[in-house]
Amino acid sequence: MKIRQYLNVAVLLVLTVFTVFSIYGAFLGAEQAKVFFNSRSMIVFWCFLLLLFGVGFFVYASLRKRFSLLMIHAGCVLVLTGGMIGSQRGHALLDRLLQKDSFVKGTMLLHQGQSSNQAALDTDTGIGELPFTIGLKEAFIEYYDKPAIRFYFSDATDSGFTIPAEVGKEIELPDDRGTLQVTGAYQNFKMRRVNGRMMPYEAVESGFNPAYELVLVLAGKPPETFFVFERFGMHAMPGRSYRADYAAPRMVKDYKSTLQVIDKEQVVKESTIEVNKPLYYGGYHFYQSTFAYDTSGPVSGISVSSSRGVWAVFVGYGIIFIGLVLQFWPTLLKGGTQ
Amino acid sequence: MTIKPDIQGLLIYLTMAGYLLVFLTAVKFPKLAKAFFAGSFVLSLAGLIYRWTVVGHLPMQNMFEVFLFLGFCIWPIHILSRKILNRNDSVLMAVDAALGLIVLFPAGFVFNHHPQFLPPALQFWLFGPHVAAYMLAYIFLVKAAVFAAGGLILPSRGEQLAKTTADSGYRLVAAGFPLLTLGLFLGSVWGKYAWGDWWGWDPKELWSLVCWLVYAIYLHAHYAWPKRYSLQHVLNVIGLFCIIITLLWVNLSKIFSGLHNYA
Ligand code: HEM
Repeated sequence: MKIRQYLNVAVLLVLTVFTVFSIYGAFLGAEQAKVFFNSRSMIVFWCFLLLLFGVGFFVYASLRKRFSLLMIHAGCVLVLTGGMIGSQRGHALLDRLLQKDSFVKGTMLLHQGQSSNQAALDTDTGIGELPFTIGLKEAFIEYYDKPAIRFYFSDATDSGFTIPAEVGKEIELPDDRGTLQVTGAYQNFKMRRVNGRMMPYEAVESGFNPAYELVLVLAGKPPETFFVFERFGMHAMPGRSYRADYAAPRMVKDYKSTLQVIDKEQVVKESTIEVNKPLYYGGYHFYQSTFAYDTSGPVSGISVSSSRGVWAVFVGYGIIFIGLVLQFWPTLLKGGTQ
Repeated sequence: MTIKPDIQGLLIYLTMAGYLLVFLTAVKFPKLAKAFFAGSFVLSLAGLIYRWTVVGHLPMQNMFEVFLFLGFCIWPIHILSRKILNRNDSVLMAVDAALGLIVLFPAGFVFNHHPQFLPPALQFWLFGPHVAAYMLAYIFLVKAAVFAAGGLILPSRGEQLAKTTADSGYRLVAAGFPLLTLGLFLGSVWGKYAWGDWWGWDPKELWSLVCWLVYAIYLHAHYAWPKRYSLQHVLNVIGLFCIIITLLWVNLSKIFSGLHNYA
C-alpha cells in the first residue's frame, strides 16, 4: 500500500520533470533541443522513465489486468523504445549487438545514370554504407522559365496546368474538358462601373498592378472570364470550380528523381520520388531534397533516413489512442453526476 | 483588425450574432436560445462549405480556416457535452455560446482569408485530420478548464460545487485527451512522410508534448488524490494555459524558429 503511494508521487514527479525539460527544449529551438534530448545525461532520464513503467506494471495489478490501461502504458513504452532505437546512440548500440552497420541520416548526391551505396552522414564527416545500391535513372527539374499561370480544377488532385502568361496563348484541357486562353494583360489593373457593371480597365494614374485576363471555355458551358494578379497571389473566385495563380520566372515548378534499387545485381524496385513521396526499401526512406546542375548534367540530392524504430512508435501511438478511447469514452456516454 | 466585406465575412458575423443571441437569451428564454444555437450552427456550416468551394480543398490549412472550423464545432460539441455531463442547463449553453464567440473572433477580425497555395509539405491528406483532431481536443479541454476555473473562482458553496466541477472537468478531459493523442499520432506520421522524421524537437511539437504531459499529470493526480479538487482544478487550468501557448504564441511571436511557423 505504502509503496503505491510513493510510486504515485514518483510518477507525478517524473512527468513534471519531463514537462519542464520539454519547455526548456522549446526555448532552445529545434536544433539545440535535439542535442539536449540526445545528450548523455538525458539517456539516464529516458532509461529511468522506462524503468518506471516496468515497476508500474509490476506494482499495480490494474495496469496489467485492465486491458485499456495495459494498452495505454504499453503503448508509451513502445513509443519510448522506438524513439530510443531510432536515435543516433540507439543505432550505434544495436549495430554493435547485431554486428550490422547502419546510419541514421545521410545525403546522397547522384548524377543521372550513376549509382552508389554511400551517403555522406549528416552528423559528422563520415560515410554511411547501404547494404544495397541506389541508382538515379533520371532526374528532372521543372522551372517556370517565363511568367506563367497555374490553373487548377478544385476537384483535381494533380498539380494542375501551366499556361504561359502571354496574350493569345491557349491550352487544351485534357479529356476534352475545354480550353483555357489568355485574352488580356494589364500593367495597372483597376475596376470601374460602366452602365451598372464593374469593368476592368488599364489605369493611367500612378500604380502598378499587373494582371492577366483569362477565358475558360468548358464543354457545353458559356465562356467564363477571370483575372490573375501578379502581386496578390491567388485570387478568390467564389462559386467557381477552379483556381489560378501567377508563377514568376525561375520559380521551381517541381523536381523529381526516378530511383532504382539494385540489390544483388538486380533491379528490385523502381519509383519516382518527389517532395512528400519517398521511396522505402530495406529499412531506409529516400527523400528528394536538393537539385543542381553541373557540367555533366543534373545532380539529385537525396536524403536517406533510417526507419529503425518507426514502426514501434506508430504501433505504440495507435495502441495508446485505442486504449484511451476504450478507457474513457464508453463510460462518458453513460452520463455523469448532476 | 480587419473587417471582411464579403459573403464569407457575412456568414461569420451572422454566426457570431447568433452565438451572441444564445448567450443573451440562454438564462431567461432557454427554449429560444436553443433555437438560436441550432440556427447559428447552420450558418457556421454554410460558412465552412462556402470556404470549401472557394479554396477547393478541405478548409483546414491556415489559421483562418482552423478558427472557422472551430466555430463550426461548437454546437455539435455542445450537444455531446450535454450527454457527457448529464446536464442541460442554461449556464452550459451560455458558456458554450461565449466560447463560440471567442473562437470565431480571430476568424472574423484578425486572420486574413485570401486563399493561398499550399506549401508542398502541407499537401498531404493526413494534414487535415491531424489539425482537426487537435482542434476538437482543444474545445473539450477548454471547456474542462472553464469548469475548473469555475470551481476555483466561484464563491464556495461548499463541497458540492467543488465535487461537481471536478467531475465535469474530469469527464471533459476524458473526452478530449484521446483526441489530443490522436493529433500527436497523425502529426508524427505526417512528419515522417513530409520531412523524414516523426519527431523533430521543434518548439511547436515540444509545446504540444507539454500539453499532453500536463493532462497525463492531471489524470494521474485525479487517480492518486481523487478528493483534492483544487489541485485538479489548478492542473486543468495550467493545461489550458499550455494549449494557448501551443496554439498561438509560437505562431504569433517570432521568438522561435522552426518547422511549424507557417501553420
Ligand atoms: C506519459 C506517460 C503516461 C501516460 C500518458 C499515462 C496515461 C494514463 C491514463 C490516461 C490513465 C487513466 C487515468 C484515468 O482513468 O483517469 C492512467 C492511469 C494510471 N497510470 Fe498512467 N500514464 C503514464 C505513465 C505512467 C507511469 C510511468 C506509471 C507507473 C509507474 C503509471 C501508472 C498508472 C496507474 C497506476 C494508473 C491508474 C490505474 C487505475 O485506474 O487503477 N502511468 N495513466
